[in-house]
Amino acid sequence: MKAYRYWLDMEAPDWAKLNIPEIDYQDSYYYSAPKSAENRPETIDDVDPALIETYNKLGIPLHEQEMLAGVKQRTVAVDVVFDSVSVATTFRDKLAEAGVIFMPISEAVEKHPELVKKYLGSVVPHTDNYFAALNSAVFTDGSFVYVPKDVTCPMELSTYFRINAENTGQFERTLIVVEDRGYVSYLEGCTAPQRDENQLHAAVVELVAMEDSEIKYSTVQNWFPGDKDGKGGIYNFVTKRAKCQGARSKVSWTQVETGSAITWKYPSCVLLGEESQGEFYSVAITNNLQQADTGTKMIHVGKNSRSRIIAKGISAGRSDQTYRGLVKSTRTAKGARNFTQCDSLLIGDRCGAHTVPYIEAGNASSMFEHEATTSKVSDDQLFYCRQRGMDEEEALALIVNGFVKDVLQELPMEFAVEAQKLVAISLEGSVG
Amino acid sequence: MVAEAETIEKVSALAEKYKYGFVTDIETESAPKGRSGCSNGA
Repeated sequence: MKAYRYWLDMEAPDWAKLNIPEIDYQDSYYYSAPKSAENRPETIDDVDPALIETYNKLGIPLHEQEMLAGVKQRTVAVDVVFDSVSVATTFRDKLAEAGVIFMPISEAVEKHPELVKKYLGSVVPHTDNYFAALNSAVFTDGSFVYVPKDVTCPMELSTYFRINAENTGQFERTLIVVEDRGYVSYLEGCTAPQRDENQLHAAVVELVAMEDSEIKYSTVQNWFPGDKDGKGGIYNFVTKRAKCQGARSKVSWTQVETGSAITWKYPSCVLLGEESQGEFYSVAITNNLQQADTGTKMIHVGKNSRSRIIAKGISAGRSDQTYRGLVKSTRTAKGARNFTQCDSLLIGDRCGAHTVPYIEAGNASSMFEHEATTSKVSDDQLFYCRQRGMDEEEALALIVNGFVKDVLQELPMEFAVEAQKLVAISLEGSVG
Repeated sequence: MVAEAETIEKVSALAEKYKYGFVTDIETESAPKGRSGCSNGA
């Protein structure tokens, strides 16, 4: 209620280079859940078959036996969030053997209240921004991960978000805490039905990395982007932030953004620990009338903290895309280092690409480097490839894959292949 | 110029290719629409 009252007095941010139609916050459901999920299923076998079938269609296997038997190539523990609730989490027992907690955040509130109370809101408080306040007021579920000291999480963790119900927003919360010398790799994916009306997704993700720990957080964002005339699609207004609290802690954000009608998203790192590291690897693709204002913030506080930003933007159709990034060092961040590379690729002549870097060095020993390029897929490049027997779409895929390979190679291997296909599909038909 | 015209056509066709756009027909319960729904504890 505190967050809700705070949100009522706030105004939506208008500084991004986005044309956001006025949102009627009274005309949306803030909570929808399958009736079958009312009593939380104990095992996957208890989950509604219609939900299992949905995830099969999406290519997300939920049956542990199949995965362990090698029917699927990889072993990934999955938490599935359907509208406003988590409906299933796989491999919990196996993870628990290693001491790793992976469960819906609604359940963590009941079973591990001390951890949730200590860390929830510690990285993104409800006062942080308009959409974080809204999320804090209305979120009902999401994922919780806790990796204890000296534990390397034995498998990839993943959460798959699906909006299904009409006129419903999704406001999930993710909290990941990794103790000293722990490691986890976590991936999130998301999709939604093709509808004529816009739907809001306003999530908050908080990561806490302690001494010598590492969190690798990857996103393959594939929300419905709207139709060719810009009708429908998800408004993806997300706050993601990591606190590298311990010395030598490391957080790596990797994102492949291909969906959403409008994206407003800046995964960030607050580098508090000495020699802590933050990384941001991003591929953002916009097509048709999609808009994206995305980037990162690297806030250096600890001595000798380091960060690296590789952002690749691809604009096609009549879409508009902005990279917006802040690199900042405080007085205490002696010897801070950052390298930023920001490249934009334009396909066609009706799209836009913009770069807005903010650099604030708070001490004389910080060293920040920024490189930026804007290029166009030219007829010459396509002609060169076609001379060698490729058709136009193969040629474009080759050029684009070369452009984004630095980022895709940061994804866990199994997902990199999927992401590569997604990139090709997103740009299918972008050349004549 | 020809290439450009074809680009426009193909890009227009692209939006139809979102293969995850199906709806799951499942019984759902929702809190009342709007902010009053949230303030009632949804």
